[in-house]
Amino acid sequence: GLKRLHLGNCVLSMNYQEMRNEFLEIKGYVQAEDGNLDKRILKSSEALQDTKPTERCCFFRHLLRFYLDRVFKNYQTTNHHIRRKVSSLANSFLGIKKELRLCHDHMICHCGEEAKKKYTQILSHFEELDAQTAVVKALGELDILLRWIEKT
Amino acid sequence: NAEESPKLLQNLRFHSSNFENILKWDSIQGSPPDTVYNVQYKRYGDPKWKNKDECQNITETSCNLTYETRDTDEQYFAKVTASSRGQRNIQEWRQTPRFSACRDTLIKPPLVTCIPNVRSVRLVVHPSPTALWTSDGHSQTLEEIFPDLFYRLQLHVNHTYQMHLEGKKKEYEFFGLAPDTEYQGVTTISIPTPFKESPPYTCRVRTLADRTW
Repeated sequence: GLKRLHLGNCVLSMNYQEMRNEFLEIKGYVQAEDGNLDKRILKSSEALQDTKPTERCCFFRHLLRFYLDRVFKNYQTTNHHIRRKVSSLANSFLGIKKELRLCHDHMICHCGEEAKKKYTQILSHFEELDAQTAVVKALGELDILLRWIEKT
Repeated sequence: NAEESPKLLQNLRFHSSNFENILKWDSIQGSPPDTVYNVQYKRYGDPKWKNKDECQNITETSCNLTYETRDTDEQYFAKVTASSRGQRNIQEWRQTPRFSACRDTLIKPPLVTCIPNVRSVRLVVHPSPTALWTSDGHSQTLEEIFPDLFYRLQLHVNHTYQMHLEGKKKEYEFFGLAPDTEYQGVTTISIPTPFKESPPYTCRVRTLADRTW
């Protein structure tokens, strides 16, 4: 279930299959909450795997922080099972973020123009929507992020 | 279209295996016999629904959307509108949840040739075709789509004893068998990321008689 993720010189291992299984448990519920099929936050044009290898670590760090600070923290639901799964996913993201910190400390997590530009794009897609709609949509798009991780 | 009791169609879903993506639905018992269906599809994030031209005013309850949903990095929705020709006021539509072929497709059993020898059985696994095509016009195989795909093989010797092999190569041989004896070979495809496993392909094979005596 552990997947090694190569982000330029930064290599980390993550419990990918566990995260994927947890998302599959909430996918139907969360994606059904997202009634806006015309908008998308994680677009193919900003895909992680198509990012320059040297900037993937920085871009991925931004994405993790985005999910931790803007999505998981603000997602509201009365469904206890869903809430448990979301917090479990958040914990997994926290673990990965800690590992990425090491790469940052070893100066192999360089932030260049491409990472900044792509992250800015994603943020603008997110901020186009009203707050709760954006949070629900971003959470429902976790499988897009997982797909990017698969392909990186 | 609130989820009140369905009159014309229900159970709309994608049925996908080896990336052949078929949209299926069920009619309702007692619904007007002149019911026809119109299929539309849309990529998640696109503003417009598109008609599937071959599936307009159809009476069948399935529609092949393989080509329209072939991008494995994208997610799609499909919508079916049912209406009765005679009773124009009766119309109903259903929409699928978000569909992603890469995540949702099932894997068909592998194609395997089982070759008996006197004291061994050789299993040759053939590449698994999919409904996806590359830009230069060849059918993609599962092995090309999922580089970490591997095979699990078992040879059932008797009720309690099986031999196991696994790997990415195409040919495997189980040795040390008895001549003129029946064995059962079982092969499955396993994909670690995203995790998928195929149903088994099973072959019954009899080792050759030993004519050296």
